[in-house]
Amino acid sequence: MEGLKFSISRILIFFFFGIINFSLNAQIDYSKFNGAKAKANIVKEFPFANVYDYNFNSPDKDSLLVRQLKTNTAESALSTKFANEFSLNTKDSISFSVKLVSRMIVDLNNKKHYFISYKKSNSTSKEVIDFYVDENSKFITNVIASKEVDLFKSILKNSNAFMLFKFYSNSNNKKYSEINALKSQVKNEQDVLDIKKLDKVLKENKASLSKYLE
Amino acid sequence: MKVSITFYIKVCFLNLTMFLTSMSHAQKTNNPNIILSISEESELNFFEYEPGLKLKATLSSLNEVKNKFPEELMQSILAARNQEWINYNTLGGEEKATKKEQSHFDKIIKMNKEKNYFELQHKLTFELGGVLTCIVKFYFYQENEKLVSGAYLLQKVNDRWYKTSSSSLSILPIIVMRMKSEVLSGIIYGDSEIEAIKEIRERTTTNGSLDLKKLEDEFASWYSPEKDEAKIGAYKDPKSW
Repeated sequence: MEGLKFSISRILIFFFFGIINFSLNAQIDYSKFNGAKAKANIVKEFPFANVYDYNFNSPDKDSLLVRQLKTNTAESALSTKFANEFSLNTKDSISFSVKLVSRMIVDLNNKKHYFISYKKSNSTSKEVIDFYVDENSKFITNVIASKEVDLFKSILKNSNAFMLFKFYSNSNNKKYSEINALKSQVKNEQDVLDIKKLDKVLKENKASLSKYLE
Repeated sequence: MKVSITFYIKVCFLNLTMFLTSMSHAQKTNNPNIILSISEESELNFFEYEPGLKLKATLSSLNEVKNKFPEELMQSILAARNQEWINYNTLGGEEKATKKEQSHFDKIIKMNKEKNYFELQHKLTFELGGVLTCIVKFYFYQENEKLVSGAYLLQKVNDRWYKTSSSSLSILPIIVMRMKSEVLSGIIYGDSEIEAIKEIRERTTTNGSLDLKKLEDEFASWYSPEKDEAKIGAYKDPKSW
């Protein structure tokens, strides 16, 4: 009998401390763990960025879309956008095509984004589209605007890989004097291209830089 | 626009070439990469946990995981009992998650929760490219092992926190892990009474805004070109590696 009482007491004590422990854990309100506010200037380097100009009028041509492609690529995803227009193309007649201009691949918040600039055969203006790769490795059109997405679209609209690499290069080539003169305005203190500064310079110097886009 | 059959054949060839080139680009790109950055003004919060705040592996199944706060994610990381759970905690899921053997999970399931736990020290929270980001410093206590210090980079996406390993922040997680809480707090808020910390604050601040790049340079100067033992001794947490 004494043994039974002892066991019951132990069980009760165990439950008592168990409940206290549970209550302590349940009482933690993480929403209050914030700290006071301060201001900071943060420089973020994009973990991956790659720029490429599609080849036109060269042995490695890869720049003209005239039909819907069935591969799992950003270019195929773009071709799907114009499936209706391409369906009017026949063996004897191409009534609609899309000329691919440049592509920029950037890692944004752990997602690979493919920005492609292109021109439709029925328009003279350059457009830019953004695809991201989802968990199933599919290319999805990004319709969510963000500061960074908007900047990359704007940069690709007003530049190409050739021009960006000229800005990127630390050495100056006499042939590209307009770019040389603007280099200092597009880099940060660490001599790395800053996309905000770059976008501003590209917009403000469209006329003088346009010859590098041809 | 009407074009000849010869042009069409040319176009078909172009398409084939493009198809092959695109395929190769999708898998691997041989084009040179470019380094790009963005400078942002951000609001920043620094929080010191109450001394001895322990997080234990009390979760036993993925169904119990919420990850609504960085601290909940830390607890979930400690308790993860299978690969699916680790994937769930990681930004980018399976593709980005660290792969663990079953023997690791067996240890997690069997470990003594009272002797294997995280003790949180402080956290730095800010926005990075529009994404709420947090670096949490902790000590990892393990049974029969030496204490290990660490800092996890966490990001909030779609109302849930994830562990990530983004390299875009350079050495900031290491700074958060190594610096003493009172030193970081003094630099961030400018409220330290210690003259040397006030001077660091001045060197790393522009127009009242902490410049994290300058903070990185300041931290790097303690180690290179020569190790400054006096500064390391004064500002580095002796328990950190």
